[in-house]
Amino acid sequence: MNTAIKQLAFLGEIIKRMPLLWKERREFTLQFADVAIRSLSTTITAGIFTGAVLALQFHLQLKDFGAESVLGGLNTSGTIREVGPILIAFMLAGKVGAYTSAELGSMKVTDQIQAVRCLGIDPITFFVLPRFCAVALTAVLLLIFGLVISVLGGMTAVWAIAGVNPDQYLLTISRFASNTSLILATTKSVAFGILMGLICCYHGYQTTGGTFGVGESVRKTAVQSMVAIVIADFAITSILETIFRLIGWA
Amino acid sequence: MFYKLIHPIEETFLILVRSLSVLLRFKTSAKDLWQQCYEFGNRTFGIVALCVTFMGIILVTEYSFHMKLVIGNDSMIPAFVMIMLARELAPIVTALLITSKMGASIAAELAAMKNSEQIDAYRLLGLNIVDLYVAPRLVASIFANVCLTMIAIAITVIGAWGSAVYFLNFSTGPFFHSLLVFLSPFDFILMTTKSACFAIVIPVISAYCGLHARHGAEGVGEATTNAVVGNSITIIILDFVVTYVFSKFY
Repeated sequence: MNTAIKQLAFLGEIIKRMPLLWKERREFTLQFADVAIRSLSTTITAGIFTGAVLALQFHLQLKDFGAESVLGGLNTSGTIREVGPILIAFMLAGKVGAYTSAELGSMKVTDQIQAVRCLGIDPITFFVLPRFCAVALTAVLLLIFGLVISVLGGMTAVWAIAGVNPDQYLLTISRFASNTSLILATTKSVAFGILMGLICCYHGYQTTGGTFGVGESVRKTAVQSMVAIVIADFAITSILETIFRLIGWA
Repeated sequence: MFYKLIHPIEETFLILVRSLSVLLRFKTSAKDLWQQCYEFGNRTFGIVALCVTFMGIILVTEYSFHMKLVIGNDSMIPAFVMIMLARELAPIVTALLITSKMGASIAAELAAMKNSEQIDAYRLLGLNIVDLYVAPRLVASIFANVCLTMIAIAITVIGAWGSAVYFLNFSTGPFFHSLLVFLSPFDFILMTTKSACFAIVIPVISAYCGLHARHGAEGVGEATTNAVVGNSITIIILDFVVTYVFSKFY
């Protein structure tokens, strides 16, 4: 709980410096490209297999009821609304979050951050701000990309293994995956991206205690991101469902 | 290129074989085993319980939405939700959480040991680090993962029941009746197999990443990140493989 309050304060510090992002655009672009290219293969693998596993499971469940014709729609909607964002975000928390946390942490323990402060430059503006923005933006984009890939993965898996016709699979998607599903998926991606960026920058920046401390802060980043993601998922689902019900979309 | 791809797999297998052979000869100390079971089981229990409860609650509301779309009523939700949780989400979420908590800390510890040349010191004494370090963790990981998955599924029953009664106006009797009609021993066999498979992967890959860390603080951070990512990806691919093999028997 204490950590959560400190992290909110840290987020405040970052947001306060947000107008300075333009000055750091070079670092931001570099970080963005680096993180995005590094994590692309992880996202694709995670997306394909998440979609494939869930499609297989749904297929097993629906087979008993002879409802295979709705497999495509049901799997797509179920994946992008709920399970997909969580699983892909778990993978990205390990890749994007932990990587940035390790980088910031090793800068901290080798006193590079202190050195920059000695030069009269604010380390949060110089190191943390571009990384936070880059991680948050990449995570959002990669999550959405991963969800798109998961639809393809699911389709390929049931086509190859269970012999479901891909055309029919794609045809039922529009019946089930409505605007509300897309809004839910996008909101979740944005929230998870910001959470990941905040948690990894916070723990990376707070690293103490030499080489072992770096590993420790990476571990903390991974664990806390996962817990935060699950809780945020719950909160977003319940809030948005209530809103949809109130305005009569659901 | 080919060597780069094959070498990690070969090394990981060697670590696995080495630790299995030590375990089969009962060379590990019982004290170490209990210590690691405590670390793996007790320390991760809190976050597993927290995350899995939320997942149970969300899945009920999400499934209710889909069931109403497909068959018009939601009387079979408990069965569908519990089958999905038992076959898929309880093992994978538990394994991913243990990865980020224990896998990362194994990698960080081994990488820090390598950095301070403790591993070389062990080798000078004629001791193998895999015998001393990885073997007890392998047993503890399997034991803790299987137990935690079972506890997790028990917790989700309570979470799902609570949210079905509270949000969807279910009565307790029909909820458990519908649960018992569809949930079969097959689901629990699949669940246990999955969690045992995931548990074998976690310490072995983390140990590989830790033992092959580069020098310095960056090396430790990188090893920890690699451990989390490699484990997550391997787990989700294994999940697909196990599901596919089991779907042949079903």
